[in-house]
Order: sequence, then C-alpha cells, then structure tokens
Amino acid sequence: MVDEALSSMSLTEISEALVKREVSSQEVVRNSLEELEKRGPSLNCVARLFPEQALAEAETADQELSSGISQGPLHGVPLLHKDMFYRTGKISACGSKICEDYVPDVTATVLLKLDQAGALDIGRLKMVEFAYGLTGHNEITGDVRNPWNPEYIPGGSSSGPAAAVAGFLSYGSLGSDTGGSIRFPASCCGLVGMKPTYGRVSRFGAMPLSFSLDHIGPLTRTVADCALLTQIIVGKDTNDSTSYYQPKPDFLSRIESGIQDLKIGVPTTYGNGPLGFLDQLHPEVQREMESSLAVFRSLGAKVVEIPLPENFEISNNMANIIAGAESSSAHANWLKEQPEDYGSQTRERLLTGLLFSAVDYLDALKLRKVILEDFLKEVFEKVDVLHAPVVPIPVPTLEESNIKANPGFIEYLILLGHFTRPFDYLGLPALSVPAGLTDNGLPSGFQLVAPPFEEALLFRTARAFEKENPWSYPQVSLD
Amino acid sequence: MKNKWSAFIDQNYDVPEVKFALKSVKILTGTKKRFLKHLSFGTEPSEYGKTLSAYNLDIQLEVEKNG
Repeated sequence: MVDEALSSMSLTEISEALVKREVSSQEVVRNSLEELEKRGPSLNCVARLFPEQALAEAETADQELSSGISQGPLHGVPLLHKDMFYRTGKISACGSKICEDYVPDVTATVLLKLDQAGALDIGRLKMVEFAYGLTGHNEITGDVRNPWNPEYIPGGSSSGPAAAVAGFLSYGSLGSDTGGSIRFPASCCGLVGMKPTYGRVSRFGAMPLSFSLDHIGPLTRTVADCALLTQIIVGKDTNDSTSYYQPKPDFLSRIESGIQDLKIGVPTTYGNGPLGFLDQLHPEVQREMESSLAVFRSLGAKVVEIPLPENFEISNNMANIIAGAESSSAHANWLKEQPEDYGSQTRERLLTGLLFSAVDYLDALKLRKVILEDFLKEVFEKVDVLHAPVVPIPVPTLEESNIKANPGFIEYLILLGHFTRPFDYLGLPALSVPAGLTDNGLPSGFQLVAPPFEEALLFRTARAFEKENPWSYPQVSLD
Repeated sequence: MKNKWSAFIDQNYDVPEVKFALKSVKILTGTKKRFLKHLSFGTEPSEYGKTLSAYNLDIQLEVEKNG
C-alpha cells in the first residue's frame, strides 16, 4: 500500500529521514515504484523503470547505512530523470521513435555525480520529442498530463519530470533547458526549476539539441531541494569543452539569510524605444507577477523598473536561429533518411533550421557577446537580480494548444518562449519559482535572473519568497 | 546549377510546412540587420564564452582563497 506521507516529503526531508534511519531506502524505493505503477499511467509521464536494479541498490544502500557508511547527501534516495540522460546499457529514447532502441555506451556526467552523492537512478521520464517544444505535446509517445488538472499541458520539453515531481512520483528530477524547457514546465506545474549559467553543469552524456544553448538543471518542489541538486551536479568536466572552471559554490549555507536591501529589477522597455518586454503578458499572469513583487517589497527588497538594452529585443530570434541551425545539423542524417519517423511539429521546426545560412548562424553567435556585455552593464550594474514572468499566458489545455486541432494557437506558440529563451541565449542563470494561481486554477511562476555564476543569490532570493509565500501541491486523484 | 536543397524548396513551395519554414526564416533573420554594425571586423563567436566565464572570476577566486 502506498504511503502518501512518504511520497509527499521533500528531497531534503527524505534524505534526512534516511540518514536518521527513520525509514529504509528499500521502503522508500518500494513506495516510489508502487506510486509510479498506480498513478504514472494517468499522467503518462513514465518512459521506463529499472525496478530490479533499484531494489538491489536500495538494499546495498541500507546495508551501508547500517554500517555507518554514507555515500553522500542523497544516500538511498530514488530519483527519475528526463529520458535524454545516457547511462551505459540503458535505453535513452529521447521522446522519439527514431531513438526508441538507442542504448548508449557512456553515462552522463550529471548522473555520475548523482551516483557519487548516493542517489538511486530508478527510471526515465517522458519528454517532448528530442526536447524541441515548450507545450509538452508529443505525437510519438503521447501527451504528458499536468497533475494540477490532467486536461492541461504540463509544459515542455521536460514534461515528464515536471509532472512526476509535482505529482509526488519523484523527489526531484533533472531536465534540460535550451529555450525554457526547465523553467516553462516548472511554471506550469508549480515547481522550482533552475537553469544554471551556461557552462556551469556538464552536458556530457546528455542528448544534444543545440550545443550552444543547452543547459542542464533540476526541477523540484522546494528551493532548498533545487539548491541541493544543483550543488551536486555543477563543476568543470573535461568531457564537455563548454564547461567552465569556477570556484566550488555553496548554494545552501546562506540560503536563509534574507534579502534586505536587495535590489530587484522589473524590466520595462528595450532601451528608449517603444517596445516593452512585458507587453505580451496576459492580465492574470501580470496580476501574479505584481503579487510576487509585493511580497519581495514586504521582505525589505527594493523593487525598481529597469529598461533593457535595445539589442536585447533580438535575443529571442537569435536563439531561434542558433537552435534551428544546430539541431538541424545534428538531425540531418535522420531528416534525410527517415523524415516520416518524426512527429510533424518536430519535423517542421527542424526543416526551418535547414534554411538558415552560415552567415545568419555566425551573426547570431557573434552578437551574443555584444548583447551579453550590454546586458551586464545596463542591468546588473544597477540591480542585483531581475524579476520576469516565465509563461506569458495562463496554462492552456492540451486541446486548445494542439496546433493540429487548433491552428490558431500558432500565434501564441511563437510567443511562448519570449521570456525564457533570451536567457538561454545570454547564458545567465535563471530560477523559476511558483508565484500563484491564475483563474483556471493552474500555477503561474516568475523567474529570477542573476549575473553569471550567481546561482547562490537566486536560491537565497527565492527561499525568502518561499518562506513568506508557502506553496502546496494538489492531492489530485487520477485513479 | 541549383543544389538539391533549393530545388526541393522550389518544388514544394506550396507545402504548408515549407511555407511556414520560409516565413519563419524571414522573420528571424530580418531583425538582426540594424545591430550588426556594432560588431567589429574581427569579432569571433568564442568571445562570448570569455565574457561569460571571466565575469567576477577574480572576486570569486578571492572569496574561495579566503574562505
């Protein structure tokens, strides 16, 4: 029988309970597997499980704990991750038909880091086909459902991780973010989602979508859980040429120290022009943004309006050019040999990427440094963190956001990455935090953006908000 | 002589997927023109990584050294 109290514990709580031997790893793993079997199909979020291996590893974890041995802060904790993190000998289908039998011969660096911290890898979660899309639809493996209301999208491309964590089927999960694929589903499902600084976390052994924009990070139910997982997976990796050396961070020691005198920027226009960064925001989302800013003010932070550099307005388009060109290059052989095996939306986006010239691609890469420099100077010399929406509209239903059934939604689809993709382009760390509910009863989140490698500041700011604005998850019965 | 890809585009211009792709490319590439003048002649893509990784690195190394 499923122990719901055990399932609803946070990652930090279950880790502590294991260390104190209040519960055994075998009990936790069995409970997770039962939950996944019982409720996983209703959310359609599970790609595959490794039950025998999980139970064997849990037995070992318990034996070690009884001998006074702990592998690390996640000793004996079961986790599931997006179906794009490779482990030698295990299928990584990447949400596709094309890779449904793909068995990698390497293990992702982030999984090895979690192994070293004592975590148990018990399965994979569904995702958007090849991580290319923000709504969570998948024509190949079926649409993942939102635990808050199964008629609504969970967001993508880390759709399975978001649904599983919000639905108490995993204590946390790794996702990837190339245009918003961690923060967008985190916002749709009421989770905390971290997209770290570009180069902070190794991408080795993770399915590539666009190597210049791909980021890996966690989705969790609390800020402390997110800080803990991020702390474990960061670090330079010689297997990833884009990973940078940075001093070893400590995301947890100052997480409770408050935000008095912190200066929070709210973006207004691009330079002196008439275009506003927040112009496309739905009034209900705007309401939740304002409520969250009121909380920050009450905590002693100073909230100021800040114009964004004029050139920032093209960052979304530049990111789309880079993602289009790099993903189409990666998929060129399959596009040529088996185009019919892609879902139509994925194929359409990959087709677009084939049409960019080399000059367009290089211009987009070269402009990145100029726009980043201007952004650091004009924004982060004036404020400590930036506050912005994540999803511009209330979470839509699966039906209304299905382009095939509702072609008119295409106008919204183009806008969906407006607030997330620019920060993938600049490579700045960004943390999605639950703000409140829109009128349809679905969550809406804000994101906090910081200068490069300032993730600790984001966790401290978000934790202050979380304490003042505690969040609870719906106990939705999907039986 | 046209390469195979542009021949494919010409032949399939009325296919909705191709039409959408061409429209998207036009929108995405059209916006960068007025900002290109800010790029110096020798700008390389790798300069982005240098800007990002060097940000406050001295301060952080000092913090690490001094605990």
